[in-house]
Amino acid sequence: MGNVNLQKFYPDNGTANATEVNANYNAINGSTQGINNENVGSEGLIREHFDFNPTFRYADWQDNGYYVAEGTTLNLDAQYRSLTDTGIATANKTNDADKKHEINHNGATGTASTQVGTGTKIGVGGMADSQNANGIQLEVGDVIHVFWNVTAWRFEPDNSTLSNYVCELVDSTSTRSSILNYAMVVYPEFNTQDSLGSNNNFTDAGDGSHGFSSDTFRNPADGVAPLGGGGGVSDPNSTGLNNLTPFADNRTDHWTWIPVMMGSGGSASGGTNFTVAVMMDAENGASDTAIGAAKQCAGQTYISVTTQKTLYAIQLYVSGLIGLHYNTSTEKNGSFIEDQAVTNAQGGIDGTLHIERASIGYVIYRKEAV
Amino acid sequence: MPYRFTKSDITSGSIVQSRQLDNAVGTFADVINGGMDRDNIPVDAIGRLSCTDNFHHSIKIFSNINAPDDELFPDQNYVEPTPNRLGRLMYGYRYADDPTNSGGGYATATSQAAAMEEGMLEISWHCSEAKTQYWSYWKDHSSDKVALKSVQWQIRVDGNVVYTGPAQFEIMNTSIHRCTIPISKGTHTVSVHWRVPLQRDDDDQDQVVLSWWGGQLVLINKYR
Repeated sequence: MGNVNLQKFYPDNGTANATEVNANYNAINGSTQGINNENVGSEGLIREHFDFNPTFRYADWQDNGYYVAEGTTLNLDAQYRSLTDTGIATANKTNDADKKHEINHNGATGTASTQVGTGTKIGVGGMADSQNANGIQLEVGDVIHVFWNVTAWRFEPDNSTLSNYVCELVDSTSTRSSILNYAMVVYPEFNTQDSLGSNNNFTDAGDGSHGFSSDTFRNPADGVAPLGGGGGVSDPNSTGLNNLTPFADNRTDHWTWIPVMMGSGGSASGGTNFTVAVMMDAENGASDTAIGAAKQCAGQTYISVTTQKTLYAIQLYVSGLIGLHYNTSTEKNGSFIEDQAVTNAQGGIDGTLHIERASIGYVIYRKEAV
Repeated sequence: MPYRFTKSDITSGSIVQSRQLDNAVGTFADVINGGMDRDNIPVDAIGRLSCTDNFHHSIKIFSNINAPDDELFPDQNYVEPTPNRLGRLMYGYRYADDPTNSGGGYATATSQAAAMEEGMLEISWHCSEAKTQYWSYWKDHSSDKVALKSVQWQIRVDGNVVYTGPAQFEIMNTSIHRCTIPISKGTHTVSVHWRVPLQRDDDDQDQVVLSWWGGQLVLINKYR
């Protein structure tokens, strides 16, 4: 509603006729309809005047409820294998199923569960019943903030002789590859397909058919297929860096990097004077071969919605072992997923990441002007 | 009716001066013409459909921020004299090169300008980072010291420091830095900076001290 313009009689203070007076009263009467921002003073309102939250559409958080005492061996369901596996017979020692894993151990026993609302599979918009999430129809312009935290309990290499993982940077007599710039990555995926939150329907936010963002996201497992059985490998040398993920090309700001091993070289005394250790071992405690106990690793990402979709669930995943590499041809820095196990002739790294607590939360900010 | 509207009674049967009519409705007009405030509106009176988008806040997202590839240099310890068997090349910032320049000073990771309304500005920066501590104390077969290094992040608004993070020594990690400050109306520049500790005389010059990638800067302007 616009401003109310009244016939003013001051300063003439002459004879007012009925038409002028009625016109004023009609203007006043009309002003009681359709009040809008022209009628309300700047900063004139406070939150209690709105019957909705002006900032957030929905916010929620859940954790997996798996809390154990230090020294505990985690349930096998809470031990997430790397893509590489010394037990695999093929040359590359990889198993496609290990490209990524849902972080789905849950409850006091840490038992795997695929049900939405358990593990790190959080229902969006709350739960409709024990099996189904309500879902929220995302509007173009909404912004999703997803945040998470995982407690990396232990990294357990396949080979207990840690010196087998030594790289020539620590020990010049070794023929192994570098162990020290490897991490396992935790990241979220999204389900816009079913309220049950089926694992088959989780994709990244930029997925062409199921996604809701026009951005391109890179996930750790991208670019490694086909694997196993003599298929493609991620060895940057042998593949011409085809499987390298250049950081500049796609979003990787939804990755949380969890370091797994480190090494310490000796001084001039020689190559045998070194230390190799895992980054965390809350099962056996800190030692000469374990830097410390558990590591709590956090991550987050913000994503703008550019396609209207109903979002049902969000879930965390953990990747295989990720390394850094610079492509000298394209002059781009990036990462790749390791597919060489330590027993491979070229060296490599392998093992399982034990995860205790894991939590995930999200905030959907109300849409902006678009 | 507006809380501030006090009507002027006109005595029944009397002759009214037209000026009295002004007084009777003038205060109402003052209130309705942009003077309404929290005293005039009931609780829960305004629904979502009555509001335009972006009426309460704005969010600016700057994604996929990475260290510029042309600022990164190879870790010579990695590639010479014996290349890593798998050819993995660590590139990043070295002490001898720009913008590190022996460390101690802040270099710019990103700088973004955005129009803002008066209110609060929540700034969030996160990225992944690597400090190559593949030797913790000495370069193998030498007395060259190469560790321990760290990185610190800093956030500035229009050149003023509003946040400085702690030094982080983790080999590889993802770090999150947030702060909220009052902000005035207008265009403001938010910049993110990093620094590594000062170089020691016996620090190895070939090592990469820091590499970072996967950054995201988010500016949430909550209007007053």
